[in-house]
Amino acid sequence: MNDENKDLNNENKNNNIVSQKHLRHFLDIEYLPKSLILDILDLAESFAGVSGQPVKKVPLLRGKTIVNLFFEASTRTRTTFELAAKRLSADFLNINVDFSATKKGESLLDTLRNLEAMHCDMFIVRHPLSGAAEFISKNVSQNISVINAGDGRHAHPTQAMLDVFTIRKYFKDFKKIKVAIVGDILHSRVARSLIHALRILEVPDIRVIGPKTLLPNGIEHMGVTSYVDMDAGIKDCNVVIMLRLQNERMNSSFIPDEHEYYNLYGFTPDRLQLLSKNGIVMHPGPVNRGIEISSEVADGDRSVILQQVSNGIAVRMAILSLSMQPQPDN
Amino acid sequence: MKDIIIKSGNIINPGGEVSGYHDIYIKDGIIIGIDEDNTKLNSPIIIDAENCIICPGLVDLSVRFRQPGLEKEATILSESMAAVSSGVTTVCYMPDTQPVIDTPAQIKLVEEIFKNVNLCKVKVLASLTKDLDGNRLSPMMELKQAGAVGLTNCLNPIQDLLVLRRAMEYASGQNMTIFYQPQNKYLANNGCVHEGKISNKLGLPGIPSAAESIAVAEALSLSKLTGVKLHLCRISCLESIALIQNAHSSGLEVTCDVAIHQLFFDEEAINNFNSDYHVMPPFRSNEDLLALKKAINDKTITAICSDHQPHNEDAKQAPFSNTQPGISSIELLLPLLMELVDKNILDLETAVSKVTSNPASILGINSGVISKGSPADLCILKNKEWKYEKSKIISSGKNSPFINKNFKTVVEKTICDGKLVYERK
Repeated sequence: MNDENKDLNNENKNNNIVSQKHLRHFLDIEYLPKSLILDILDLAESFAGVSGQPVKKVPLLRGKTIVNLFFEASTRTRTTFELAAKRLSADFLNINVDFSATKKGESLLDTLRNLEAMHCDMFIVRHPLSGAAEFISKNVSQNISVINAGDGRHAHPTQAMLDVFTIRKYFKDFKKIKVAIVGDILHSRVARSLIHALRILEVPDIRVIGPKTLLPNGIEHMGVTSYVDMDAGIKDCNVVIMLRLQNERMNSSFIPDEHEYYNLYGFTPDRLQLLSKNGIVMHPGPVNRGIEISSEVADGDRSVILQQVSNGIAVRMAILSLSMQPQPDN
Repeated sequence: MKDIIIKSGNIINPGGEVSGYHDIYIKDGIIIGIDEDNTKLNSPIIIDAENCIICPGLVDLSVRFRQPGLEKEATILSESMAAVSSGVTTVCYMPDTQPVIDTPAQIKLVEEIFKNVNLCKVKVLASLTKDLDGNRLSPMMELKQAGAVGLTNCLNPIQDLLVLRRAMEYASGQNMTIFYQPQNKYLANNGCVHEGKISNKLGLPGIPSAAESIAVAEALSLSKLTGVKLHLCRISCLESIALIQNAHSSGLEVTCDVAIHQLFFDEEAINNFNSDYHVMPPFRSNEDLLALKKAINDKTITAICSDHQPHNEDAKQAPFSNTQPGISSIELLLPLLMELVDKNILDLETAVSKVTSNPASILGINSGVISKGSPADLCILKNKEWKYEKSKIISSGKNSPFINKNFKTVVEKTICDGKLVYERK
């Protein structure tokens, strides 16, 4: 594409931030500066203490109204966002759109307009289509922030943030670790956002592991190395992130069956010894025991799966509060 | 109808013999002479075309004017006005209207509306299968008698190769051209962008180039088997180009076209989910873009069309994969083409041939050349800077990634069948 045509398409790609310090929306990791990612992690660190206090609330967002706008089912993400908002003293509303309004013929834009009319300050959006959060952010009024809680296969930036937060608890220096992501990379918004986050934090060795049917063409462009062989892929890794295998993948010829998948990519106890000495195992949940990970590993001492969930609250508190700060005049 | 003399224009006429600076004499819709005296004409309108280029009226191989059935998006009137503003005098009408054009009565209806609108001319492509279902053959002979210049299954390429074989055999028997837009639907798998760097990054379902090239290979083999005259529509990737070149060197007379916008963008254009760049086939890799530019020069790609698809605003207002593909592009067919000339991607003669004589010969119609005795379909253009602004778009469809782009060529006047149908204000 020549330069002039690029100019035609020069809308600000960095819809996320208004300055190096302030978030306008939180849609995607890709264009965040490293310093801002570290700021979020540090702020989350300070919020992590709140959950341990007898009164688990800080008054940062008192008087603000936050809406969880979920067009797709979720338990963990929805709940941790709700807890995060409540611990920041915001008023909180859960709306499960479940495509029901859309089924009646209402367009996404009309749904938004109606919610806007209720004078909310923030939408936390999950949607089955890639780009939905970005679309919503472009179509809401100036004073509303949009947080992406997962859009199609595209991005799940708060999950990526809580994953790197969890990793930092164990490995202080991102520049010295090897990280592998295992499973259905093709359909995974978690993988995409996590790769961006790890790359920005300068992790030198990022690997994706899975059968070729679930490794997208051109994934190397994202700065990762791909492996079909799990043992070779996780060897000497400090962090292994297991992804959930959706049941429907079996019926659309991505993989032959669960049994073979477990043999090839299941995290079994004997694979633990391939990791580096202090290596940890992560999973964004929900876990399919006996399909991508054995119970022994999921519940074992190298697993940090439940810590990820707890950390999710602190990280989301940090992101909500940074996005709700008074925006600089601009 | 007034007689017309066009004086002192520079004629660019790749399909005919006349070229250079000549006066053109028009009477009763026909070019009656070049540089003759004007005694035969009856108080003619005199058009001074000094510093202008005169080329044959454009023949656009693929338009959708949405009528009948989707008049809320566009009408034959609104889109004909847009067409003549870009020098287009003949449009090839796609049959995926509502209902589908698969009966003689449908063809007559469309032709009748064009006649009443009386701006540009229409050539209808009828549906290859009934209701575009990909299974039951349309009554090809009846459609041909009613005026269909060819047959197409639009964006529903026939997946059952036995049906495609029979459709080709039958069409060949009726001496009709099949306009085939190649795409294997299983490989396309409901994708909405090119499978590659961008689909992967944005998590949008991708369509691999192989979905097109496999369908090209199938169609070429079956064309050879059945002897049907085949035109491949909207080629987008280098693998398809290689297959077509191969077919040409083995003596197969296949033609193909590309949509004008495919010569301007690659997959990177979609980087921020902008649905104005949602097209089908999708914008592909930069290598594909370069291969397309090369192939319009080396004669592999015979024609360039607008692939005009006007939409109302709602159609593009949704998350990317839920938006309708297509660009409202007919108004820019000529300005974009001239930009390719300005950038030395094409020479002027070749560029003009891709939108005039070449598509006319694919359709087998008497058009696309300037010569004594032929219909007076002409486009007069000149160098002048202008900006494509949304508020000034003539088409009902404002869906365009080219809004606010600057152009260097304007169409001054368009003449269709000897009638001045467009004059720049």
